[in-house]
Amino acid sequence: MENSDFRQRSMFAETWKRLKKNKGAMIGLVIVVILFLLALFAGVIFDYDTDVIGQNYNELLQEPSWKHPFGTDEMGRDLLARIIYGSRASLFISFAAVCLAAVVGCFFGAISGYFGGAVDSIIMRVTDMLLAIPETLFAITLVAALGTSTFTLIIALAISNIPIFCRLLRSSVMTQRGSEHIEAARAIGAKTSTIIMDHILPNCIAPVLVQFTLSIAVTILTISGLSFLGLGVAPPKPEWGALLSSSRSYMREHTYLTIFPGLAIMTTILSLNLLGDGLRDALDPRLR
Amino acid sequence: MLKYIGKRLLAMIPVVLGVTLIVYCIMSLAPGDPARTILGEQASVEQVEALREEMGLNDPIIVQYLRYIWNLLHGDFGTSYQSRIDVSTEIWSRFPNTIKLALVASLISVVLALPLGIIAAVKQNTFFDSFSMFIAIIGISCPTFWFGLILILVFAVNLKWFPVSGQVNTLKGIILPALTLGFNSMAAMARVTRSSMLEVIRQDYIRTARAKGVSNRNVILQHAVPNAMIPTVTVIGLRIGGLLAGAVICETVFAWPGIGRLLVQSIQSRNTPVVLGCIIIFSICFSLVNLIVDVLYAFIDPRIKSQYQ
Repeated sequence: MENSDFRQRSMFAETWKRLKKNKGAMIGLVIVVILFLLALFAGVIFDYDTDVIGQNYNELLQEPSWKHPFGTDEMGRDLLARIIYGSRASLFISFAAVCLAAVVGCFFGAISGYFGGAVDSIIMRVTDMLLAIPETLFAITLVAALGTSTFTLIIALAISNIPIFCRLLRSSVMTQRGSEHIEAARAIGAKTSTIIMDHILPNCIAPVLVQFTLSIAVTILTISGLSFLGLGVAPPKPEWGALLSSSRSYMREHTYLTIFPGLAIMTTILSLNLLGDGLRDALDPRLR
Repeated sequence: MLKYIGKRLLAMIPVVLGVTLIVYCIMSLAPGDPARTILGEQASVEQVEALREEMGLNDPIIVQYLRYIWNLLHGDFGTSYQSRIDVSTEIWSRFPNTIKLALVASLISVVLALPLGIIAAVKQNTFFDSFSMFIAIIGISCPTFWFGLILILVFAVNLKWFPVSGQVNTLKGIILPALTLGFNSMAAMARVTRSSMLEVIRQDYIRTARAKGVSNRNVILQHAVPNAMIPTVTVIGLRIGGLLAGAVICETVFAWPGIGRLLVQSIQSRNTPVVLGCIIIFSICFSLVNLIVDVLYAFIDPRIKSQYQ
């Protein structure tokens, strides 16, 4: 019997279909994918030792040209190579931090939302405290105490993102908890862990996905801000904020050194925001 | 209402205490001996040990923390490692500058964001709408410090309209830093105002108002805007917290003598008491702003107000 018309499409296919209609989100997605590929294959395009950290005193502070599309910096290093390698630091640290935050935050959020009571109160008071310290400040505190390293940055940014995911999941779980399919699962004797993992979490994935995208954007901004202050990724390793910080001394005569790294940050954040907004609209049940 | 504010102020105490505990514990992880930092490399082991004893560094961390809190309640933030002057003097002399910057920045962002968001919603799908939303998404995607550098480049270096670094006491001196700091919040507020206006405009009572012949201007200003303000106020509150954190970066870009810059300088010179003091001040401000926002809700939304009477 022909019943393909009635077959229910998966949530994923449905969302993808709606996302495809959103021009902004698709542009965002394409740019994000390109950035990922560039970061991944940076080693194929440029040689780290000669292009990125190798100093070349014959080509100091050159204006953009065919050989160096974005110009060269005060040590004769190609700015394009440094920006592309810089994306590695930003993308890696932000992904690691937000993934960690999402896993830990969702874990505590699920527990808090499912069990309620004293456990919920304790978890919520802790998130209140963490939320009372703005993300940048928390990262600054941790870096000030432990010194700058990739690991410290990841931990600091993860901890400040945990409360957001925790609250998000808590509220989704709380709305799910009373629903009939959970009651049914409990009636047939499913274990609590099975109920949370198999019956509740899959229904909470949409807001988490949207928050994930937006958190990555905010975290990349924070990383570049910290590096700008000299508290993030340390030179000579390239990072966007650090590139901007060192460009300040040459800002008047060599504006391109200031403009290109900033454009790189803005393009990345812009595409992530467009993608995040598009995902939110596509996953919004009210718009279905 | 007063009872509610009082209750919220009381509820703030454990949060602020928790924040100070977290920050204190993290800062105590910092490597290096404070006594050694103060006395320098030449000091003998006995001298260092004597100072450690005097500073109470040999006590358990919880005792040190409680002593710190006790002093804090008396307005004593400890003594700066470098200048040997009171941290509180150092902080309070800079605090007004940060507040001034944050206030002007929030003022600029609110004044620009509300009309932008409201008009964009009223004229949905027109050129003005797309244009202002384009500005807004650029605004939330643009790093504060880069926007500041570009403003300096264009308006201070090339056009010479404003000074390059912040002159605290002139109107001209505060415009660029405040614009830099406020741009991001402005963008976020404009986006939220637009979307909440769009939601409100579709409500039945707006249709009723139009049907009974209220002028378009009055429908928007008296019926739609007040109802659309609740999400906007939330975002204003959230963003002012972000503003405080943004101040750290913005003050560094413009060499603005506020506590944000003091914080960065103290981190670089490993001046723990000052770092601790600055972060605690920032967190208290943040909690206070959240409280003010919650109280503001009650003024905007009579439904919330009635709950507290």
